[in-house]
Amino acid sequence: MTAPLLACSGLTMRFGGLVALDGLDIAVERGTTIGLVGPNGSGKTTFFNVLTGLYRPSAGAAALADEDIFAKSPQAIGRAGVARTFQHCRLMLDQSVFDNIALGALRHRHLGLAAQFFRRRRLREEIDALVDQVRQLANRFNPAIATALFEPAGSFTMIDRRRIEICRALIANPRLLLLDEPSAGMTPEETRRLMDDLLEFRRESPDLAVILVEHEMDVIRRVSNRCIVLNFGRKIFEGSFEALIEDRDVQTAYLGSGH
Amino acid sequence: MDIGFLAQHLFNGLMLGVIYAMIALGFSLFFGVLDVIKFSHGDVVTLGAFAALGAIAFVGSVVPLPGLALVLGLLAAIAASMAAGMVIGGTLVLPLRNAPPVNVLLITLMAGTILREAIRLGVPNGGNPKPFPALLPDRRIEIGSFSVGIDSVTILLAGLAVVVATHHLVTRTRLGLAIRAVAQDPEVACLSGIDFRRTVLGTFALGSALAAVAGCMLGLYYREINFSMGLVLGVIGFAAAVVGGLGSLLGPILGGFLFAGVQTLVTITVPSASAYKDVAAFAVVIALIGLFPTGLISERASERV
Amino acid sequence: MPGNGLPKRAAAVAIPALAFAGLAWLLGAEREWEIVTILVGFLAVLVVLDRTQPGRAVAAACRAERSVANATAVIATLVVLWTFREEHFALLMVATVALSATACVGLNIQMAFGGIANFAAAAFFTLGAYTAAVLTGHTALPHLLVLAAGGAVTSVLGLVLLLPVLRTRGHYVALVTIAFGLLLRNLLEVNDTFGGPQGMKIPAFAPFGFDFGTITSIAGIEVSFYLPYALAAAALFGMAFLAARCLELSWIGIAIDAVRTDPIAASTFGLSPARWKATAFLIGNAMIGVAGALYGMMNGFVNPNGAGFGESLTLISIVVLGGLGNLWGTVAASAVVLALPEKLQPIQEYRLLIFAAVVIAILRFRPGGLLPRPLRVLGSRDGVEA
Repeated sequence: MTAPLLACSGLTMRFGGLVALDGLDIAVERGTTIGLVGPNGSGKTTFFNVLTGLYRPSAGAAALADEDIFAKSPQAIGRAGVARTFQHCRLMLDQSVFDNIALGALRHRHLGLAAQFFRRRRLREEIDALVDQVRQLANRFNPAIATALFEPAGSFTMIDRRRIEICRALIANPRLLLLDEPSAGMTPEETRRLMDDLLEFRRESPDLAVILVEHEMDVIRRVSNRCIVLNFGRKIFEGSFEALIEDRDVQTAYLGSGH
Repeated sequence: MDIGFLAQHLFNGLMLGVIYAMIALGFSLFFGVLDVIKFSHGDVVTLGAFAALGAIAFVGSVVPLPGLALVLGLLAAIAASMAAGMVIGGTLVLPLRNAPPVNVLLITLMAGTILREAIRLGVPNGGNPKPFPALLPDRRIEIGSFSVGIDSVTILLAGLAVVVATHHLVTRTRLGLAIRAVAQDPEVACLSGIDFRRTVLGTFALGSALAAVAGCMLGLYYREINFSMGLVLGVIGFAAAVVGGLGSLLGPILGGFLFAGVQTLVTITVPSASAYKDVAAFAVVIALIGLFPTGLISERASERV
Repeated sequence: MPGNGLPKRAAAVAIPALAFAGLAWLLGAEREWEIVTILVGFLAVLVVLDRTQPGRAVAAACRAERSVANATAVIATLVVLWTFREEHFALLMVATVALSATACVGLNIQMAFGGIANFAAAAFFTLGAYTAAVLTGHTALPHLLVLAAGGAVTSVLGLVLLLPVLRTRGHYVALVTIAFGLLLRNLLEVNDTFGGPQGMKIPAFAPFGFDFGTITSIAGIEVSFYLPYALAAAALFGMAFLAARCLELSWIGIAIDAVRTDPIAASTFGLSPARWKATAFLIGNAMIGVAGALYGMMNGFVNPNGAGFGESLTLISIVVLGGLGNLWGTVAASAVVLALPEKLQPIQEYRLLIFAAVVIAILRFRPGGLLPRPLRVLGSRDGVEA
């Protein structure tokens, strides 16, 4: 048996007196989708921020393909193949859609100064190729985005902005994809379409591992292979969706101890 | 090197430290409530000093009472600086609250330029250094080879008192509570009934009043002020606040004394380099910021993601 | 909107030609009413281009036919220079505007692209000139290499100064640059190695043995010795302009914009904010240094006054006024900010006050500047859609 793609052990994050993550042990294998659920403030986004190097954990270890994550800077973690979306959209609103999505692909491009100044022809070919690729990807999520690649990202609705963020993460061709509430604010129909698109993408890259933070249980049921529930930074459940909805601890965490 | 000589330098350093601390406190207060750097702060110090000079000259021409002139001069300085600080805060800084931070820096820098140029062009012969009248009793205290004027001691004690009073104001009064609440979390502060705009303007008024007092102290101690002194004071005050920890209360005070201490030390150890006094001050600013870019003492909580 | 190619191209020729005609008139103007008329006309054209439907169409056409507009600008520059070939003062003005605009292109790369507030631009500009003074005085280095050295010294020194600060976020860069500017000016004034307050003499620019100081005629036609300088300055600006455009329309352009707007998102996608900010700063400072070196050679001397804080503020005013990130806006603003006080003597004394007030108004009511930076459109195959 090979080592999992992501292996976290004893992950703990304290902010002053507040314990946001409390001794998390989580393993994610290649090709699996984990549904990460839990009440607000249970530590899901903090978990993502720790994994992407934005926070330095108070204790614990995490390895991506056997390499220590916390020895790396956020940018090195990104280059090692982790891509994410943010709970509150982080796009460059004044920049075009293409610029925003291209940001995800930059780590695979020639970024030397000489390459930009003296190899304009090759640069132009690279750019044209990426424009095509971005257009195809965006077309899958919403054709209206694909036909307006050179409009400012700020001129799109919140939902389209979230789609642009997902495209930015996907174009990075990651090994581990972290999606932070991608369907927040969408109608059930929009959510269904988004998940169809994600599932389709998923089939084309069988090795990709995904951690999806989501409140919609329907979405979790459809897309995840396994579910993990966090409460007060602690893992209170791990298993299949069917087992999840039967679990008493989870019900208590969500509905309160009265039930 | 005898004790008196050292004591003299220690005294100079303390005086400089109090002045720097008062200016740095303003930077830190503004940063605390709005997360902005108001770079016109140094020029607000200059404005205070010139307002005092004007008021003193006016009173002096009516009645020959140095005490009255001093009090009215101080009041005029505080009034002018507070007005300038609140106008800059209300019309330039608050509306740009959500703009990129560099825009706020630029707009306040330009506001400072306007103050500076207005003083240079508006005050008769404003481009040259102006003598500041000596209004305090000029007897001296002599202890061995150390001699110090009563006026200087008065200025130093008054400065220390103002710093302590400010600390008290921020930690113990209602305005201070509002300032600290807004600094912690503006949204929660507003929800709990604090008037955001009034608190911010109050902070600007408080910081600017400190600047005015610092300006008067400078004038009284060095007996000379000039239109461009705010630039240097702004840089050192800003640097002291950064090194001490922007947004904190004690940090900038310590930062102010730290800068004064280093500057004094340079003067003592390299007396031949007195021409390089300012060069050394700026080199220290650059070195300290380069070494401790997020401050020596505290760093504000990391940005929410 | 002009749909087919020809009207678009006509607009792309007409607007730059009009702008340069205005510039030429400003250069030749002597009476105050003329200058005020030019300024009002300039503003009126801007309002029309910005606020009216046909105006916006014309502006869009200029952007779409960028190469036509740029070619027009090059030809117009040559025409203006030839027209004023014997006028010392006008040519000096053109060269000064071109060199300041070159420095401001560098400042644009730093501030508008990289988001690094450089409040010591004039100090770095002067540093370039001092480098030229030292190198021409003590070595026999060819003058083109002296220019390059001016850029290299300026960028390396700036980088050493800022590298520790670039690793963190915040206002600290601004503080360090302000302190450096004040330090440099003070140091140059009190230290006699570099001539103290009097500064240093610099020999005339003489690339490949053509001594610019002795040129009095070209192909038998009498010209001012400032003509070659104005040409060289314009060429230098052209190179800086081209380099900045190449940079903006490249992967690095996206990277630098990304670390400015959102360093956190950029770093999770593998970009190092320190690296790209340092790149923007390095390139910008190199441009400032080269421009400063040529400026020093043209003037024949350099002194500490040029490094003053007020001069740095003037350069920043140009960038903000023209529109952060808009290079043509920078040229227009350089012309207005530098030429206007020279031509309109009554405002000379009040110029800093006026610039400060104008910049405040811009930041408050039109933060993009007079000519805001256009959206970057990469990709050549099908260009702009919709």
